[in-house]
Amino acid sequence: MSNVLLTLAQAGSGSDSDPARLLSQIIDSVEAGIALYDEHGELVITNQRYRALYPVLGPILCHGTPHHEIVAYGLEHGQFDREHGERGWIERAMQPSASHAPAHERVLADGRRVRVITTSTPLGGWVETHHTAPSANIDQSFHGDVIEAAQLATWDLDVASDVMRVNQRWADMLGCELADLPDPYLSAHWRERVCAEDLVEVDECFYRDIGQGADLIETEYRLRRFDGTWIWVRDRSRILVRDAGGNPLYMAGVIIDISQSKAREEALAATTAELETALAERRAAEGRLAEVAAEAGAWFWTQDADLRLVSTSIGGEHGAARAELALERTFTEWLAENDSIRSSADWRIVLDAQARREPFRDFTYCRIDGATGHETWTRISGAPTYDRDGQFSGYSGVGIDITELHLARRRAEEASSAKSDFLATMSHEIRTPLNGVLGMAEVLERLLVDDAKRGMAATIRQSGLILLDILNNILDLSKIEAGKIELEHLSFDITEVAGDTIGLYSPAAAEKGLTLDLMTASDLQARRTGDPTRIRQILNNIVSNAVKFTDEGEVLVRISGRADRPLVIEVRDTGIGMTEEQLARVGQAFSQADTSIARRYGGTGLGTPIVRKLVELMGGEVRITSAPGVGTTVRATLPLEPGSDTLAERAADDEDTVPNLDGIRVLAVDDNETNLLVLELILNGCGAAVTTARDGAEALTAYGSGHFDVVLLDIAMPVMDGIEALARMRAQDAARGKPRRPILAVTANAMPHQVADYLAQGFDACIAKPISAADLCHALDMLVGPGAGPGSMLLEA
Amino acid sequence: MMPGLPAGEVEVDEDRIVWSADMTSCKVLLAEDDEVSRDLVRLLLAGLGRFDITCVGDGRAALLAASTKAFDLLILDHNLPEIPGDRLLRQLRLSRNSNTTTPVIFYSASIAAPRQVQGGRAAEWHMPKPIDFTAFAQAVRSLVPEQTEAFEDMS
Repeated sequence: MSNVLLTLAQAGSGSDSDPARLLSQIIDSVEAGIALYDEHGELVITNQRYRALYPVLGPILCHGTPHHEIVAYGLEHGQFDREHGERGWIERAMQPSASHAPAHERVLADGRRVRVITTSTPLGGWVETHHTAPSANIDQSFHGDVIEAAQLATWDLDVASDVMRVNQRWADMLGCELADLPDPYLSAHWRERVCAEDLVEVDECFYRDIGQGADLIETEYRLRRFDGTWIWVRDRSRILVRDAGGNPLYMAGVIIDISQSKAREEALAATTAELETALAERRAAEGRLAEVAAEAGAWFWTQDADLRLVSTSIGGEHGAARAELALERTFTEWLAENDSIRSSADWRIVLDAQARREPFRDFTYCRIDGATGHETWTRISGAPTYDRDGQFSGYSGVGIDITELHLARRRAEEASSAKSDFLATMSHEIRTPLNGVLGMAEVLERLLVDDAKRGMAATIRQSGLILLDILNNILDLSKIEAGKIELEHLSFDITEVAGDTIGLYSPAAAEKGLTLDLMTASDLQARRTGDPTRIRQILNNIVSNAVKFTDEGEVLVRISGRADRPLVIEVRDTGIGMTEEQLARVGQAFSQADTSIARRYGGTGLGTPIVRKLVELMGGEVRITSAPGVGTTVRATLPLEPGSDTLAERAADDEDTVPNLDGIRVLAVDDNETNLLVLELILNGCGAAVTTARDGAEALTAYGSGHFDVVLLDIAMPVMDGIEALARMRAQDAARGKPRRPILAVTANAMPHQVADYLAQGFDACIAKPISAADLCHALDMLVGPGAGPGSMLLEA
Repeated sequence: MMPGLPAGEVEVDEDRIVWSADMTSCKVLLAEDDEVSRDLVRLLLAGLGRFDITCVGDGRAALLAASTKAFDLLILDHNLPEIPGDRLLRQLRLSRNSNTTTPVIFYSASIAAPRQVQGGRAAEWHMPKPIDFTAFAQAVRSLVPEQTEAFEDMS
């Protein structure tokens, strides 16, 4: 082969003969760069590829140029660089009679690697074949193994020929065999499998990065497999050889199938989007709820498992009003910092409920602005929350500003109270002159001897009595309707009450020639617990009506009811009776069965409504059966518990016995420790629970936060005296709508006029110091002991 | 001067009207702010026995009077200025004073029917207003029997 070449070269060098052209054509068709030198080390011929590899050397690549001159020219003009590649070859090449290494790799000044293989010719010359190396001097097959092991699809591209070389993985990735790929595999074959949309981006990215001189270009795009499905790939290309203008000549790359990670990424993006939509919807829903709530003055709150407030939806116009709520605090801590809120309500209800992990509802508290005195009333409800594992996770609830509501209710109560006061005043104002009329008429009646004049005085008196009766009925009815009547719970004997009623109406019945009888069942439980005054009122009303509307025959009062049954009072008459229509109207106020009845029999028609309402107040019911001309039966069923023989018990109460004050909560206030100790000892001895305070201010705080049945206040105390403390306690109770609680003055300043002052200022009683245990216990027993029921005469209304 | 009043002298001492009588008469404290009612009670009492009546028009005067002098009978109205009748009565009952055990007739508009109650260590009649003559007479007779019996014997 070498001989042939040499011969051909020698032949070609002399003339433009066919063999020379043939040689030129042959070596031009070789893919590697080829240079032939003769035995003198002078260039004989180069091929096209060689000249393309070393474009700088072009001007001196002529026949006869010595090899060392070519290398020197290359060094001078920047084709070669001493700093790059195996320096040895340059040193050797510069020696005119150098021996040549059979193979070496040189790195050109522009970074290209060229592998040069030198083969000696028999005539003493040599042939160099120059291959551009795609990578460093790694063994190609080893390189290939690594790539296969990494399961990477690889490619390289010779830009000039547009031919791509791809490996088995590439074919696997496309779902085919290497043999199925077109041969030669051109870059166009790759391009037609890239998603058109992505190809635009890939090209853009490629040219942009190339322009910026980058050697490594990374792109992602979709590639269509042979079965028509798409895969996402990441393509890392490296430009290995550039021409003098920087345009890529040779490049290679790897492609990784990222469909799975891409799919995960897309799924993640989709999930994230869904989540964000859901979150946005939730936020919107919460926002709407908060808006609606804010519209109603409400907000939401949550506490964590340690009962610390972690969030509230407070904002907007109510935000400022709610500034007192503190995040990261428990109710207990928060209340410790806010005296006025703590003392505005019984917070134990909430704290106890939370301790038991129970819900609480409609708890109302008040905050008073220290500067303006403005009151903010708030109602909160809450319920425990549990996480997915059923573990207690805190509380969540709702709060609502009810200041308006509260103030409206207070105004309504004040109005109602004003109405009641008006009625009470009216009652007093009407009774007082009526008292004069009735009294004087009676005196007059006694003084007069003339029967006619006596009769006139009697008429004045009777008319006055009727007027009084009407007044009492109107007042009773309005009191019942206003819920102002509080029933007593006393032990009484129904036969005594009924006997009184019979006695009261017997004269009237006798006058009309009627029989008025009382019958009691043999198994009657006569002693009952209830309000004897109101039951007397019920009986009087029914019997009075029966007598009034009966002209002949009898009125029979029957009382029955065993110990385990309700008390039944039945009044049957043989009077005028009522039609069904009349019966239907009889329970309505100011409505008698017939207007003509009023003219004939008198009365306001208020008796039966009062009876009905009183019985209902006691939890019982009234039934009226009637037939015109036959008579009427009124039957009242009262579920009253059997009573105890308390009168006898109380009569047995000797003054030596210690009053029982079990469970009575007393707030004792005195600036003197000894006095306090004495009070505590005496009261504890009677079973009362005592809380102590040393001055009026301390007492007021204790009073606001605790619950007491009675307060013992010293008068002369530092900081705040007893008089002022009393006024403030009363004001506090009134503001919170609490019932009035007994407050006693306990003082050494107990001259009669001083005692009168204390009582006039609102103390319920005054006890003089030094205190006697008997007096103190006796006083408390009267005020709050078991004998002092809610309707006791000794308790002020 | 009303007819039928027992012999005696009237002293007017500011807001107190004191009906002085001899030592054997029954000493009554009448606390009532309404003049007509006061006159009525006086008239009624006159028909029942010899009474030495101290009249006061408010609760404070009543308490002061009751704190300084022992009475045989107290007639108190619930609706009194300064100190309400029930508060006054309670103070008298629970403190040590010269009237702790004095029987009481207590008038209140909120009472439906007359009833006798045990007010501490003394008897009390709680009565509705307006004053019912029969009930009043019955109450006075049951609370101060000696004085009224003596009078009935005399008359």
